[in-house]
Amino acid sequence: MPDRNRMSRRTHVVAWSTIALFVVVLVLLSAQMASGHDPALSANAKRAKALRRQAYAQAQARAARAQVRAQAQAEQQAQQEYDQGYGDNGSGSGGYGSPDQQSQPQDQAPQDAQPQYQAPQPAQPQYQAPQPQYQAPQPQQPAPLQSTTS
Amino acid sequence: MRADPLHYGWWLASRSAGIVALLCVTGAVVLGLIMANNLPRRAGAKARLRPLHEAIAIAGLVALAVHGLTLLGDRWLRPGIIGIAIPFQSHYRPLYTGIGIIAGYGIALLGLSFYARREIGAQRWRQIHRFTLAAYALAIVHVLGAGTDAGQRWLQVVLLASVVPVGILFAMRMLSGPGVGRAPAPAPRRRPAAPARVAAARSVPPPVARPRPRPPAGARPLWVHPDEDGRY
Repeated sequence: MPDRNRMSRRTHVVAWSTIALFVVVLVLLSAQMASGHDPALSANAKRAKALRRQAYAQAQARAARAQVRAQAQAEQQAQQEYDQGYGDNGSGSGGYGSPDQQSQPQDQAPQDAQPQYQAPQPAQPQYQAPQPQYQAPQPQQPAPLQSTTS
Repeated sequence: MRADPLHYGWWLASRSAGIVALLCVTGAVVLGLIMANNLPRRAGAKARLRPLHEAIAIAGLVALAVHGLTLLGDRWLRPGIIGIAIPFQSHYRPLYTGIGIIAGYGIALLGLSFYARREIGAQRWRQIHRFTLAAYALAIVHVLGAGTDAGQRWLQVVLLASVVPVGILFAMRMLSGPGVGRAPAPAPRRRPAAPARVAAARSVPPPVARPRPRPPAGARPLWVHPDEDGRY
């Protein structure tokens, strides 16, 4: 009978020790998490930060590429407009002067008069290339990850 | 990253139960190896260790069940019954989680086989029970591969403190040879050789049935009470 009592006491001691150990470990892990040192969550935070940084870098690169493309497009457009403007106003098409001047023909001058005709200098195009007003898209903030498991 | 532990209660409970299960199973394995090595030399020490070994093993099995069941409540992992019961079906580190499930089944079956020892046979049960060490090794692999805290220094210290004694005791068991830890077999009864047996049989006379002594005639029988006159 004393042996049975001793065994029962030992079993109880083991059971209560296990429960106490469980509670202690639970409290320690909770404290670790509350203090911000949980390994899984901090790993997730690091991963999320890296993802955010990567997304930001990608957005920056996209914005830079788009800006370069827009600038090139604008320059190309300016070049085309310049070419068109030069072709209308300049000697490229054989005409002189502005269209207003062209509407008033110069050969209306009196015959006796000395030809005072001065060939107008081809007008320098005053075209200003439009500055690209492109706004780089803001990088999307990735949603923070929640948790991982044991 | 600071977080509210109450939001991760199931997950924390599962991690805690896993660590407790690891410690309990380690304790049970260490006690089993101590008994197998016959280390306590005092008489009756083994009989005192056995209930402790059994109690710690059962505590470990309970902690193991809690470790798996509390994962069902985790909102992030959501393993489901299949994820915690069938190996390699979990989407979270399926290899190491599967190894852990196999280790849990092995520890449970090999531990609970103690109660079917009579049906299995003591010798066969002892042979089967040795595979608990393999299940324990799988559990260690599971902790290292799938444990959240496996990278933490304190868990590495705990693992080292668990694995080193088990390794030493296992090596002692292997080096000591088979049958060291077993109870000594009873000495065989030596039978005399056949001629000696015959001679002995001849020298000893067979028992003779002796007649029971009878009371002398006229003696009063002891089982008859005298009557009122004092006569028999």
